[in-house]
Amino acid sequence: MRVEGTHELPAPREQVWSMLMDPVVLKRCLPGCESLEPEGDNSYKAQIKIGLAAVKGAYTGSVRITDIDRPNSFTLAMEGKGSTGFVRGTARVALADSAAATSLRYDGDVAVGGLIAAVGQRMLQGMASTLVATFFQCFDREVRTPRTS
Amino acid sequence: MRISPTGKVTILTGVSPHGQGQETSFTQIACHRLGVKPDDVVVTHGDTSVVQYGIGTFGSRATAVGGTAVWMCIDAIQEKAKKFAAMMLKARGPEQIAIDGAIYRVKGKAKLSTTFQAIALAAYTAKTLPKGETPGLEATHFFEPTNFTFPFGTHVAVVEVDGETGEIQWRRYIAIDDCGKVINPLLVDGQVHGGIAQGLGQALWEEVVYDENGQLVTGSLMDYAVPKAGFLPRFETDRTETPTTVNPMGIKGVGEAGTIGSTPAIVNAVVDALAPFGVKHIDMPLRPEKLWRIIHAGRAGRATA
Amino acid sequence: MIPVNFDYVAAKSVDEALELLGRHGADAKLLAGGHSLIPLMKLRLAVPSVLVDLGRIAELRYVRDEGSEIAVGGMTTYYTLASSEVIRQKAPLLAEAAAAVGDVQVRNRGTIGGSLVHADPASDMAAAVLALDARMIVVGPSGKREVPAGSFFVGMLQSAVAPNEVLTEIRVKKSQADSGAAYLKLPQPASGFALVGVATRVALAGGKCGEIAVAVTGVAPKPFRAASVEARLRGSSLDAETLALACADVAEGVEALSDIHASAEYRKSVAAVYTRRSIETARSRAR
Repeated sequence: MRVEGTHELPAPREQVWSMLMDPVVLKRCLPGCESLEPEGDNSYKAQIKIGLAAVKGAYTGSVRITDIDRPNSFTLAMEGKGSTGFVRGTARVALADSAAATSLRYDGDVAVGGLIAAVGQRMLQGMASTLVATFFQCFDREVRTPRTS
Repeated sequence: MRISPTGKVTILTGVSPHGQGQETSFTQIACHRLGVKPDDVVVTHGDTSVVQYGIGTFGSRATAVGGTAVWMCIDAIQEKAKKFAAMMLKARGPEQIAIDGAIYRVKGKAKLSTTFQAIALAAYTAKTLPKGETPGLEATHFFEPTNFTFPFGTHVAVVEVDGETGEIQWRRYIAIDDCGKVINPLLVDGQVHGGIAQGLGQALWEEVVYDENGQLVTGSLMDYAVPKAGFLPRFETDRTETPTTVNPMGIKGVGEAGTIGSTPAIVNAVVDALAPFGVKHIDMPLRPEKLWRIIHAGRAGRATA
Repeated sequence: MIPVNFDYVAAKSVDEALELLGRHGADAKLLAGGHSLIPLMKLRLAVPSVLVDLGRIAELRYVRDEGSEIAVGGMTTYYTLASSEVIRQKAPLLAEAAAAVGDVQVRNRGTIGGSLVHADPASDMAAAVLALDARMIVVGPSGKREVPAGSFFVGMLQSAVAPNEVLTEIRVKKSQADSGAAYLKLPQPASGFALVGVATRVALAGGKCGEIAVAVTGVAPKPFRAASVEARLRGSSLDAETLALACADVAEGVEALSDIHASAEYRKSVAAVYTRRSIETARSRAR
């Protein structure tokens, strides 16, 4: 499943970059994230409870940030396993200057497996879009009113 | 086949019907030959503590092979019954006995007769026995046919493909099948209907889909489309009866007729409809989007030609 | 599979249901017809610990002729909607959409309220209420409020009804003379849900198109009104050329869904065709 898009953020690139790398901000904005513990360099262990409507799943997984080219781009790799199945994905995130201040482009592939993939296909694309939208709604708020880490 | 002292019939068969209806057709064979009533016949299958051996029901063979075994079992039962009848009626020998359903009488002497039920009772109470005979009335027969039987038929599908959406609209579906002598027309019709439904299901709707990671994505009936009655056209069915020489009843099989005829009929009909776009083959299932893409590619091709 | 253990309460009133929702919070779920929720619970994809059944609340099942409007209780079944004389005469689009849902068993148990709150992207009732500019009455801890159909569908599987609220009533205006409506649906053969569903309502004024509503389901993450199509057709004679041109863009700017059953491209294309055909049928019924 492809997940891609662009999001405009009202803050300079350096600030956006720092916030994307900040585990405290990520924990607040990753939908359903209950814990995000550092596990080495640019690597985190995560507990996430995500759901759509009545369908809720608890996932344990990891998030790794690689190919870091500050403050332009990085690659995000994540994988999670839970009661409803497993999820694996990579996304390339690129920042560029724009009229609004910073333009964030994400371009990724997500593979979903297990029960939710076998019986919930029609929901997956929508779920992915919703989760990404939820992340950016939160991240947008964080960018506008930065709180100290 | 085991006859009870009161003349009831138990058929123990190695075929294992799961909807094909041999409980009915084998009962009909027994009633036709032995002159008993359907309520007096029991067909037992699938119980390994009672049925010695069976390999199941498939390949359009259960009635043609298993039914013939029943028929030949009845031959043996009637042979023994005639011996008892001759003894009870004081005839010279079993060759003097004529069978008319459940009535066993001495040829030429209409008033000298007995019944199958009386013969059964006599065989078990065994007060006297015909020379060389044992008590009881039962027989076991294994039948091995000398050849396959060759049911055949013709199915015609007439459809219209919606040029804007790729949806298929039914016009007619005609099926003429030949399964030799027909024991029960309702069972044959049912087999043909079911087979057509299954074949059309394969051709038009059913598909197991895996993604590029080997993940099954049609994991429930919400995504795997089994045909429903409302999807199907009105079936116009009819029969010819060309008996086989491979068994005494002249019966062939019909279990596969519906599936074999329907799948190519519908696919060929759609290929025929889309022939103007140069189509010679389409992989099943013929989902509307697949046909829509063919039509659009075809139209684009023709526009530039 | 069977569901995870749960407690079941048959609420006797809306107040009791609200009290239970308030008490148990996110652990509770309302049960309407159950055809969406129970399969999820059997697969253990949904695991509410308390199920609050609205099925015994008779006050939620009704169809009322209220002068210029029809009021339908939230727990009214599709079967009732499809067979009610009042609805077939005065809000036929509701009846036609209800008759298109699932199968007989689903229509006997499923409810309009359950469908709308579940906000399935392919809900047939959603298209109908959008095209009818229905108003939804929602009751919660802070009282009663009214939500117009245009604001009711917030996102995929997300309606404007909060988890601690109950959708008690749906209100639609009675159909006027010189107007016709139609619901056309391309079903996904396995689930019966709409790959594309288009509900239209056309009122004729002086032989030309007056009021027109076009609502599309199955194509986008949430059902939507095709405002641009409506704008282009309002006041027109609905001739073939105008109709074809206007309907071609019905899904313009929409992020169409794509899955193993239909690509986004196909959905958009069929949406244009079905919009045109739905309007043609609605118009022909406006005599």
